[in-house]
Amino acid sequence: MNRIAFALLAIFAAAGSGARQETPKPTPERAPIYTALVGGNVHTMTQGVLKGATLLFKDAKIHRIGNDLDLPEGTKKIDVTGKTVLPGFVAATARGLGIAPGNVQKIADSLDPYQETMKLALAGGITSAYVETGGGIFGDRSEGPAGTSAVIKMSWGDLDGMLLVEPAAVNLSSWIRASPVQRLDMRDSFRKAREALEKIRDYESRKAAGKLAPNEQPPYAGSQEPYVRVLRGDVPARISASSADEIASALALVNEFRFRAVLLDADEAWTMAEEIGRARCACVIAPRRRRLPDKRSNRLSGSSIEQAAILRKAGVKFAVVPLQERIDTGGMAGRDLQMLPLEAAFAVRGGLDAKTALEAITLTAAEVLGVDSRVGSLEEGKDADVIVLDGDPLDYRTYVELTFVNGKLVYEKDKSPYFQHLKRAR
Amino acid sequence: MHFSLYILYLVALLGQDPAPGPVAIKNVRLLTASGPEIASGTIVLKDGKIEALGADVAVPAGARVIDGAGKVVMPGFVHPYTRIGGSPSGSGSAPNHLAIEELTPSLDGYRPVIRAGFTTLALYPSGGPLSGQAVAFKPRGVARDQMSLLSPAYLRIDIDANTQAKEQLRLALDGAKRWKDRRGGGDAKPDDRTAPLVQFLKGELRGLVEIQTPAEYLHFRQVLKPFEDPALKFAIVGGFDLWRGAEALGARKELVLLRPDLSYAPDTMIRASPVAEMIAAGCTVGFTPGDSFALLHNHLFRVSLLVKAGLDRAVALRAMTIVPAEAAGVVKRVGSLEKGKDADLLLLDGDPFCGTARILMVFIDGRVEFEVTP
Repeated sequence: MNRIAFALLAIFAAAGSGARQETPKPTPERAPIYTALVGGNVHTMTQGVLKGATLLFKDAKIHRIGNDLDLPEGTKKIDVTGKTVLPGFVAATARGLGIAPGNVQKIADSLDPYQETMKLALAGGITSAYVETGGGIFGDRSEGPAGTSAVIKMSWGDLDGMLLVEPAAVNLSSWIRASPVQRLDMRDSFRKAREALEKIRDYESRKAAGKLAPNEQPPYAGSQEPYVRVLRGDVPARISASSADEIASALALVNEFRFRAVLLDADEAWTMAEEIGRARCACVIAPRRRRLPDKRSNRLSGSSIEQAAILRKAGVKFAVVPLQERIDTGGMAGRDLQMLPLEAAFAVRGGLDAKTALEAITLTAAEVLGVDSRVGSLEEGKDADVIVLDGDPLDYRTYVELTFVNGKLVYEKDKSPYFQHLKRAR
Repeated sequence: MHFSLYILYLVALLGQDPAPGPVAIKNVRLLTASGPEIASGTIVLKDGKIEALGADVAVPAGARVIDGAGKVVMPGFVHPYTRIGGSPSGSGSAPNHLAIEELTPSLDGYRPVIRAGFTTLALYPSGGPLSGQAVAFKPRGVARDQMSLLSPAYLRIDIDANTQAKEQLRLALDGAKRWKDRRGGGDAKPDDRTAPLVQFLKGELRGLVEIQTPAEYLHFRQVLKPFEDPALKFAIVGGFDLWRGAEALGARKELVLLRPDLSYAPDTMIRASPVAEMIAAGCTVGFTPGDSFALLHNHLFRVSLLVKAGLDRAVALRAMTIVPAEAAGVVKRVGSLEKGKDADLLLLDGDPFCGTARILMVFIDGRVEFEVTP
């Protein structure tokens, strides 16, 4: 009897794990901590801009938003009158952020909430980021579904609140550069995964109806498991497809097997926005990227500054990332994740409206990563990941003054050794 | 050949007087480490123990009397985390491995350690995440049992921030917890590899965890969470980077062993004091000097530089003596000047933190093990 109960538990545990988002456990022993940001212009992303509003956190969550809130006794008030309040930026792809070096199997076990680059990310307003492991010796995206991926938060000093979801995606970039034979293999894997998924669904429906054979084990997908996850819609597939030709071959795979996909580095996406929209693919784009047409590498159109606006018109969802997906104190200034909002400003220069440009680094980026139920907008019940700016987010002169993650103040420009001495230009 | 070696050992054993006569150091400044300092007093050593100390202590008849005017007596330094005395190749890696089995007695090999002021050391077993159990020993004697002060002294754990290391530790602790929670069950006993972990979880065996980065600390605490017990005791040997997580460590009042060195704020040349940060956050800090003889002989000087940078003298004194003694599980025997404790102490020519202090005499168990030749 006990054994059966244990087997059932194991099945439930197996069904409950997977790609679900992890919720931090509540700590009922202590009284809740209330923090209020009072008087800011709150860009909610979902309900417009609330002028002079108050944003109230209860522990790690947004509790209330409004203009005349009754604040609970003991609320810590922070005056942000005249400041711009936004959800923290979401980096749809990042490198060298939050993962301790070494042998990484599960990102959850290698998170580093004390990484110095995280302080730079927080100073840039980034509160969540997609990270992945594996992917070749140069960290490129050509290794297929090996490695793991996660969406992590910049919760400085807090390990338990750092992981949003793992795995977050399956990397299928190898599809693009695969030989015809490798493509046959990959198609074959998808077909097998489709069969495995049918068996899993059959098993689950019989389980729900209580019609399982005695001691029946759930079907095992084996090496097709990542493909099963993609087909079931647990996680999106990420495919690096730069030229129109590569995008077309990615769309062919998506249309054949009907799964949720995100196209990365999609420089020529603007030439086939309608097709991308029909395949319901999302894009991750760097609006500032300049790629000239190049016949030899089959890049006939090159990049366009109007890319974001054209995708928007075709109804394609996209997240904006900078030219370089890392963040550190080296390299050419202004090209890395530190300048995420400036990257969105380039999309505006190409004809995109400011609202969609901001969404491309907040709510839409969260949607592309599948974490929009937790982050990306300011709504009651969502995570208290909030930034306070000294001006228009798309203005190049604007600095991040305060960054909150999980309701905790984790960056203050006034106290930062990196930025405290820099004053806003007129 | 063997016979002649035995003769040598015998000579050595006989040469070491088992009970040296009483010694009294008078008119001396006594830094007790456990209590207030005594500006001028007398300390009496007898039968290997501290017989008496205080401002008005009579010198017993027949005692060797040393005039300590202008000089200082303090407890011998304790090195809580060393490979000195161990086998160069290490010897296996399992929770049940005992470092005492690789402890190498030597007639004069430990002279430089003694001259540097160290009177107690703890040899940790090397290699692997659960490498075995340390031995606390004194650097004198010609047999392991003679040298040993406490074995096992602590269980050594090395944690890394990755899945493999965390799973390995979690599995080992899981197995031990089942034994710990076992009620009744007759004569069944945990296997040799599990037994030390059961003792650790029950608080019968101290732990010592090597933690390089603050991230590793949080991962270790995450693994330990289901096994926490008020009785469980462990110290942390910290890497140079650990202080950046001082807030998290301080919130749990951890006992941290650090190198007595200044560091830098990340990505800058701005001086930072890991020791001061840890103490301000609420940790207890002890020093572990590292193992090269240059480091050992500069121990007092390095600590003096921390005092120069603002470290409280009393805290510095404790961090060299009583705190590492606690981390090594031998605080009842050594680490401070108290009546009844082992007579392990140093006579210095002046204030230990003046930067140029010189060790004049080293006593271990009341016996002069080193004396500067005038």
